[in-house]
Amino acid sequence: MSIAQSVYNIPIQVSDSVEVIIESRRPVSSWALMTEMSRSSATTLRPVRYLQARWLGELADAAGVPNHVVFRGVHAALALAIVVLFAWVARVRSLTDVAALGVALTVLVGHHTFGAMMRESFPVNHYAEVACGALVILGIAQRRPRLAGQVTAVVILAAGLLLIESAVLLWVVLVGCVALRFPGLSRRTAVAATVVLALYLAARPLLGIRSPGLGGHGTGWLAASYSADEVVARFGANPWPFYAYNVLAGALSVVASEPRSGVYRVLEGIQTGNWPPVVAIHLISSLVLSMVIAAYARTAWRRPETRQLWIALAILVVSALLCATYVKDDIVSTAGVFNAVAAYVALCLLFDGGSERGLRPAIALVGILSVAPLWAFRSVGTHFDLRQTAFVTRNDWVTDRPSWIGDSQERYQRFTALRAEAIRHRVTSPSFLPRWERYWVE
Amino acid sequence: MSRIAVVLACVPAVVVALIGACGVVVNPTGGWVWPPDDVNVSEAVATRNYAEVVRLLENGADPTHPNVVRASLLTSRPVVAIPVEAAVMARNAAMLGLLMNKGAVVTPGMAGKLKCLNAEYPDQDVKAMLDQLAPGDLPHCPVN
Repeated sequence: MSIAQSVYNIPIQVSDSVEVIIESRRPVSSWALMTEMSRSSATTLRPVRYLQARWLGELADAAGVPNHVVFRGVHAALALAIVVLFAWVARVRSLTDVAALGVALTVLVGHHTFGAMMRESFPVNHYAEVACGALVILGIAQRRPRLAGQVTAVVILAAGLLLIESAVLLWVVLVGCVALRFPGLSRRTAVAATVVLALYLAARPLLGIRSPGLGGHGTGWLAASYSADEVVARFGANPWPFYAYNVLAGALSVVASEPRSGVYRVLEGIQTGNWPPVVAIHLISSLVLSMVIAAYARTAWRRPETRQLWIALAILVVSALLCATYVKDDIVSTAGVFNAVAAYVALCLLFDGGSERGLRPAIALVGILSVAPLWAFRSVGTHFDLRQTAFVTRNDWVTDRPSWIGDSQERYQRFTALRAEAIRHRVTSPSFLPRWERYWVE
Repeated sequence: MSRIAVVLACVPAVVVALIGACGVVVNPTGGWVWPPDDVNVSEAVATRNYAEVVRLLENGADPTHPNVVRASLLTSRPVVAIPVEAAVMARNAAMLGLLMNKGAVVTPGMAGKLKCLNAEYPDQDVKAMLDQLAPGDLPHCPVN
């Protein structure tokens, strides 16, 4: 609930959100919007993004409530849904499972990719929607097979692919669960899902949509950030080492919390001599947890009820591949959620170890006892992060009339109304947050 | 696995969850732990809170009224400053421009005073703005 509150507190963003909210109301109907937005971009196919913005805007108008209530309400609901769905797929059966869930929830909320997912809205964060969809599909797969569940899984995939390209992860979860013989999804469903994915991939070139290559987005390299133009200038002649770097960076970002969007803060620290404690906290907590997960991975493979750890690995690999052209924390956010799923599985195996003897349980327990407070601390850091985002986002509204509004009075009126909502929405200033938080949390 | 060890592992998570839950229950709109700021115009200027400056001024606050700025926001002690003075002391040219757009009038006399403040809290962008408002050399500035 507190995470949902921190998310709700963030005003609607000027960048990435307002133009979508306003532009989605222009076509005369939802169908006209859908067909227009299917052809509006040379590199993306995301008509559902505009559709949901239109429907939410119409809901706000019909209900007579501010847009903030609807859009931020949906985002807060997604935050809550991820936590609830996480508990749902955890399938808690005993008190030790409860304890494992408690620690795993701090991993879920404290991971920097969760904060990235909650900071941004487009105007609804589609990565959060993909994460929810992935958890729903996993939950369906864990339970007895039902026709409604099979259909739901495929519908979620189809809708997700028209929302954001990262929704290919939903196919990975679905097919992965079938391959690992989870009871709730059938081979027929996996085939249907693969047909949906194939149709989507075939439709893209027919609509004139190509994948973005090098230079579409800035990203990090070692200790520095590069703009899109700088990336092309530096790596355009031979991009393969750059692609390999990004894929590795995406995976390491999840399992080690370094680098961030391709930038190694450890290298920054070496270069500048400035070492904020937050870097050590993130690195140690993630590395120790990842080692515990790795230590119990083989045990998890042998037990059907813990094989979702391997789904988490598949998500991690595919998410890292999606980072090939640029690395961004929210691209790997679903992998961050499933990293917490893997942590839960490993912790259950550790806590339920019973008569297990030897070095593994002892070392793993010491490791978890050491980093559990760090993860709880990181989850508090997510709140700081979201409060800072609320402050910056609100300040962004102190801006001149955007050029994309043009001469349209209707657009300008909608923009002015959204701006008034954001200005009215008071937030906490970082100046009044504890000064130590700048060095110990993000 | 020792029950004590299992309980110890989840204590931090429970503590954080309880604090969060308290925050939601005690103040659902803003949170007990992180309430929204309650600042005057000069304090909003000092904390670079552009949106709050706009909100206060659009709700009728006087952009020329002196306000007490709490300690540690501008100086180590509380200081009385009108918003434009706070902007100069905060070395924030963008904020100075915003205040003038929102009705803060900087007379030539006041510009001279602000130039003296800028000499004490130097910033090139602020200096450039003040030089445009009151061209010429730095006036004689009283010693505090």
